[in-house]
Formats: sequence, C-alpha cells, structure tokens
Amino acid sequence: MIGNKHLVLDLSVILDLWLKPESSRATEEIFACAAEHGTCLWVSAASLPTLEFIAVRRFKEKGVNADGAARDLAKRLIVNLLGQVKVLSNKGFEQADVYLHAHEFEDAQIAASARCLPAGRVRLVSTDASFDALGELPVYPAEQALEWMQSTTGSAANELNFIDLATQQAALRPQIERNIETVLRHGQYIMGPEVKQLEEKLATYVGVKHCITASSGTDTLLIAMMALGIGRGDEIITTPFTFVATGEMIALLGATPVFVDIDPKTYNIDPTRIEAAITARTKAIMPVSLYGQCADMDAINAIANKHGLPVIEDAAQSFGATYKGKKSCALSTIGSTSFFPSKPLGGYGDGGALFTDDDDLAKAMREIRVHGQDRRYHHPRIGINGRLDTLQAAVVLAKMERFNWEVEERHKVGDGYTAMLASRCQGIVTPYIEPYNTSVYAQYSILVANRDNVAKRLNEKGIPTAVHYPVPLNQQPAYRSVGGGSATPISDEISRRVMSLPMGPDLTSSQQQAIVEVLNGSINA
Amino acid sequence: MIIETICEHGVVRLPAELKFQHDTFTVKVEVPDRELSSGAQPHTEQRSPNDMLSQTRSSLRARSGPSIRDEIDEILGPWKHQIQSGPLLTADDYDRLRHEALKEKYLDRK
Repeated sequence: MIGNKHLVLDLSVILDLWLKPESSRATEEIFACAAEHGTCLWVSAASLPTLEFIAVRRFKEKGVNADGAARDLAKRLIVNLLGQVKVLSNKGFEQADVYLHAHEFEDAQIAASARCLPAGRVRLVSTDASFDALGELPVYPAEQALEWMQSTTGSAANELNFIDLATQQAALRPQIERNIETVLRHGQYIMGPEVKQLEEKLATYVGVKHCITASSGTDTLLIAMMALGIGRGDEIITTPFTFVATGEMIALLGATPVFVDIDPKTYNIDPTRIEAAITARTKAIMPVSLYGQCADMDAINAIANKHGLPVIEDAAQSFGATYKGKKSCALSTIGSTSFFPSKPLGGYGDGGALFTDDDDLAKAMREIRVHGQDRRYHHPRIGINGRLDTLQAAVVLAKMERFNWEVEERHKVGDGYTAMLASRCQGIVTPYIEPYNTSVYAQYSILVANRDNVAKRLNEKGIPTAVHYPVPLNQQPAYRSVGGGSATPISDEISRRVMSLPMGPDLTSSQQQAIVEVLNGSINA
Repeated sequence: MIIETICEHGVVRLPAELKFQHDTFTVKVEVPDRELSSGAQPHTEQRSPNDMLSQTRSSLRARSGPSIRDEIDEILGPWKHQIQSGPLLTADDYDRLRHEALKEKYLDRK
C-alpha cells in the first residue's frame, strides 16, 4: 500500500455519479478502491448546497414532484455521500483573499478548503478542465485520479518525516476541528468539560481509579514527587539513559538523582542494580519506560515494597504499551505520561497525565496541579500552575478516537522494521522487546557503529534520523554536581551507538523498505 | 385522488383505466393494521438524517458488498430509470440546472 493520498471530489463528478452512471465508472472505482490504496476521499462543504440545488432541480425536471420526493432523494444521496467521504471546512478568515484571487469563486472555495491537507499528496477530481484550483492543486479527471491513487508515485523516501503528524491530522481533521470549535464556542478554556472527559477516558483506558491531567509530561513528574513529599536531601533512583526531564525535576526539588545503569538489551533501568543504590535517604524509584517499552516493573516493585518506597513510572514514551497484560501507567504507585506532539498519544502542544489508584495521592496531585488549592483561594499545600489547557484536552480527545488503531499499527511497523533489518542488514542491533511486553515504539532505535557517518548518508538520501540520547544524564554538565559521578558504562556505550529511524503509525511498508535499503547501503559503504 | 384496490403478495396495482403523466411517481398507501403479521416492522422513509448517516456508516464498516453504485441505485429505487434516462447531461445542462435552481429558490420565491 502506498497510502497517505487525498482526493477532493468536485461536485461535477458526484453529480455524474448520481445522474450519469454510464460516465462515472472511474469514480465508482475510486470509491471502491480508496481504502485499499490508502486514499482519503473528501468533499468541500462549499459543494454541498450546490449539489442539493442541482440534484433536486434535475429530479423535478424528470418528474419527481410529489410531496418533497425530489428533496428527499437528494437528502438521502447526500447523507449516503457523507458516510463515505470526509468534509473539508471553508474558513471565514480567508474568504476575502480567496475571492480576490479567484476566477471562479465556487471552484476556489473548494480548492481553498483543501489547504489543510498534506501538500503534494492531494489531487482535485473534476470533469471541468478549466477548474479554478487557485494554482494550488493539480486537477485530474476521475480516470487520471484513479491511476494516480493506484500508482506508487509519492512513496519515495525523500517525502519522509521523522514523525508524520500531517497524515494523522488529515485522518482526524473533522474530529479535531469539531473538538476545537466546541471549546471556542463554550469558552471554558481552563478546566473545561473536555479536561474531565479526557481524564475519565484515560483512566478507563489505563485501568486505574484516577487520572489527573497536567500541563506537560515534565510537570507531571514534578507534581508526582511533590505529592510524595520529596524534597531537599532526598534521593531518587532513576536511569541516566533518558530525556533530561526525568533528572531535572528531581534536581529542581532539591533532591538528588541517583543514576543506576541500564539493562543492555532493553536500555531500561536494570533492576538487579537498584538495591545496591538504596540508602536511608532514598525516597522513590523512578524507572523510565524508554522508547515505548516498560521496564521490568514486577522486579522494581518488589524491591520498592521491600524498602517501603513508592515507584513513579515515567511513561512519557510508553502510553499504550503493556507489561504482562497490564497497561503502562497502571504498573506502580504513580504513572506519568506526556502528550508532547511526537508522543504515541500527542496533543498540539505540551500536556501530560498522572495515574494512580491511591485516593490520597490523587487528591494531593489534583491540588498541587492548581496552585495547591482544595477550593478557591484556599491553599493547604504549595502547588504549581500545572493544568492541562482545555484546548489541548480537546485535541487529545480527538486523537483517542484513532489511538487503538495507531497502537496496532505501531506494533506492525516496529515488528516490520525488525524483520526487514534482520533479513537485509548486517551489523545492526534491533530493539529487543521482552516477551511479556508490548512496545508502542515511541522511537524505533537501533545500534550502529559509526553512527555519525550512517546518519549523514541517510540524511543525504532524505531520511531523517535522531539520537535518543547522545549523552547520559550523569555525564551532562548540570548533573555532574548533583547526581553525576556514578559509573554507568552500559548507558555510555549505548548512547554512543544508538540512532532512531522514522517511526509512526502511518509509516507505510514501502517507505520502510526504502529506509532499510538506504540504511543497508549506508552501513556497508 | 383516493382509490381502492387490491394488494396481492405485496404488490399494489392501480386500475388500468387510469392514465398518468409520468411512468414513475410516489403514492401513499394505507395498510390496515390487521393485515400486518406480528413482529412486522413497517419501513418508514421519515428517518432522521442522523439515523440515515449512522446506517450508511454501519454498512460501510461491514463493507465487503454493496458498491457506491448499488447504494445509489437503492436510494433512487423506482425513480432510477426515469432520472437517468434521456440524453447525456452536459456541462451546459448542469449550468442550466444550477441557474434554474437558484432562480426558483431566490427569484421565484413567493
């Protein structure tokens, strides 16, 4: 499947479909094959009234007169159409501009409504060769559009993004617009109804009693530790092979991150090394579920229970993953995730959420999130301004509608990479997923020798790469004085060789094949 | 005009002596309740647009069968041949229909 293509149907081809079946075979084929070829069909909202006008008029002309029968027929046809295509919105703010630049205003409205779709992957389908697409879109007759959607054109690696959020946005555009518009209409921008709705949905999804959303996946860590009473002089055991936020929030509270080296296969904190790091000052263990795979939480929880310590799972990258059949974020005292846009469940800005079954901790975290208040202007504890914006909640809610599908696709894409690399590339270490885990592959990260050279060759061929992470936290200048100094040779070694490839639920198998081919050439160059 | 006729095996035939302006048109038929077998669900065309949209989406989810052509044909029903008969519509026809529709909506409005 090539996929990620979009056809905007002009009303001329839809009217032909309804009124001239003998000249709309290609359009019928487009409808039949759209899903199979990963093509999304769209109609502009600007087309709908005209479609109805013309269809009703034609039906009346053909003798369909009785008691609104013509209008009823048109209504049923339009409803049927709306069940098979998505509708593009026309934006008020650009109407004057569109009008001034249009030769045919109605055509231009349709073309302008397609501006939200990924550039280069859109064709307008019309019987009108002189259709005014504002010079922004190729206009194809149905036969040519059918050929385009069935072709492999557009699958080249040079169209790759490291994470393809544009395809996801196009797939969810109506839901995202609906949810954002709902917030703009009710105007409750802070702690609006979408926040509560999202928290309920997330808690149900994860399978815990409480979900508390927050302003970022960094603030969630801060809130969790504040709720646990962590402060100056305390020690938190964590991994050095992580994004800086993990250690940063520990240090910000005046506590000390105690870095424990990682498992050489999963790159998550090695539970067998934790107990040796526990002291009288240890107040919590904070494993990170790196790249979308949970750490060995049973082993970590057993050590924590033995020493009476809480466990905070930094699940910023693993929302949707499972450990022994349980969802990430439901595996310890507190689970913390992030809605950073590139995360498996991402918003359109910063956001995060906390999960717990503990009523007291949930109450504390809710209060800390809102300046430590339990009711308006009453502050029994110190807190922060850590609420999730209603608009972000609305976006994440829309993303939830596709999330289960995306998790499945992430499994397929991740497993697909591993199979392709195993059969075609020598000298690469692919991700190891424990048999009791499922990963959401927030990153698909491999180990290569000569990383810089390999990355350079891939980038030259239009394949973006990233490094997660090039320097362990205990080697970072800011952390040498707070938690540095400990020897973590495995983290050091992995950080020198690790490299992430483009990843996401919308990555097609042909794109993966192209990446693997270039990677193979780069490794052997 | 109200007439009485026989419904036989679900088919209603109007008296042959009646002459009509069109080959196909809608009529309303009153079916006596006593003639309905128990559990029969009378089909109604008065469904809400939401119901119709849900039905369309459900049928799509389960799709392996009906093509867009089948679905259009089902909607057009008995009107299909009447609507699609005659010379092929041209772009000029569509322009004319558009102008006539707008004229009817705005200029001929009483």
